[in-house]
Amino acid sequence: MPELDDELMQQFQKGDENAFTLLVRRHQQPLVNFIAKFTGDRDNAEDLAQETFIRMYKAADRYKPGRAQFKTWMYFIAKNLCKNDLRNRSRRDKFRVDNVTSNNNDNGDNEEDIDLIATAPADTALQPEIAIERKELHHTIQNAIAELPEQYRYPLILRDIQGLSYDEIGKILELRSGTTKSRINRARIMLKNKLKPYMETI
Amino acid sequence: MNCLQIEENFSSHLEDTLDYQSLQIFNEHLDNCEACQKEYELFRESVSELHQLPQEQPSPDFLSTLQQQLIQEQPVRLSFWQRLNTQFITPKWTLSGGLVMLLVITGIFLYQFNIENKDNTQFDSLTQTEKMVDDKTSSVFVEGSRQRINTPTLRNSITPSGIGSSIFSNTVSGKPMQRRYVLKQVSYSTPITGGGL
Ligand SMILES: [Zn+2]
Repeated sequence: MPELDDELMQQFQKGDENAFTLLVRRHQQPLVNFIAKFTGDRDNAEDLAQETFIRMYKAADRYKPGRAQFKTWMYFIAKNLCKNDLRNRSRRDKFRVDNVTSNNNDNGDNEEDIDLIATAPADTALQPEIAIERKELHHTIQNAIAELPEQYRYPLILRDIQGLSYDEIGKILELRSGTTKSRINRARIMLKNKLKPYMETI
Repeated sequence: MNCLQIEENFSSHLEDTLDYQSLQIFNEHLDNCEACQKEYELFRESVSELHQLPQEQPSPDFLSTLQQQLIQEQPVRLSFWQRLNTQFITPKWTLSGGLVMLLVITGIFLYQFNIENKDNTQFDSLTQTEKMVDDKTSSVFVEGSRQRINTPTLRNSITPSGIGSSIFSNTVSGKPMQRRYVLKQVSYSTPITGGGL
């Protein structure tokens, strides 16, 4: 019997640890995905997701059911953790990321192609070239997202990758509904412009 | 609408939230403006690609790692239990040994407590810890061979930094509460839930 997040949270507040475990099971995948997409760092995403849940666990007593959804609360905490994390990254790390990004931008690179073949998913009904092309495109998109300013990156990921409603996003980012909408539209346009050279060649 | 205004409405059109009149104007502009047509097509494709990005999956041990971390986050009392645990080889012994110890200590404590209460002069000298335990109901329960200590109020008192929002929480304040006199706390709280053991 599927229980609502709010109900589980209330059970947890009464001391039922299993309720929290259920909540983690339910939300771990979207959370890890969100953080990975935002930071562009899959390994670190797992740690930040853990940290998010730990904070929720500790602060559970302050959670007011009905006042905020578990989900929006989760993303809110994760967003702040991502923010701090990015801020705390050393210059060297930044340099590394920039390098990766610029390498990926010159698309005809042979070594890159070999890597992509090696890591291409074993699926598929897709023909190999198409699979590689898709993989490359995903890479390009991920890089394009990473280049967006934070205030556009958050709403874009929450909307188009995590599938949240405008209302939920507004709560998480503490934006008015008009601002949320225009940010998302703006972010999509920025992304489109970044992907344009790539899309046109397909 | 000019091209810029059309662009501002890309998302609304894509998500079908334009009112009838705006929709008409939008479509009409697109029919007559090749540039906007092309941009809108790219826009749709970009969004569609975003939707199709592969999802990251958490590693299989995500939950168990988290649970480990949460145990480590527990206050001093748990490490007392963990220490106790490592001193006995078989879990059964841990359990019964721990229980006997608790009962003995509880007995002594309650006995002393009664005497102090009769005197009625010692009340003010109850240690800080005892008062604290009184305020914050703590419970100890034992499950199978494993002890779990549940302290909902403690979660409240350990405040994560960086979370502070008018929406999600009241004020963020305070530091992890100092928990001392581990043994006394445990013994004092036993009678609350000890009945079912
Ligand atoms: Zn136009």
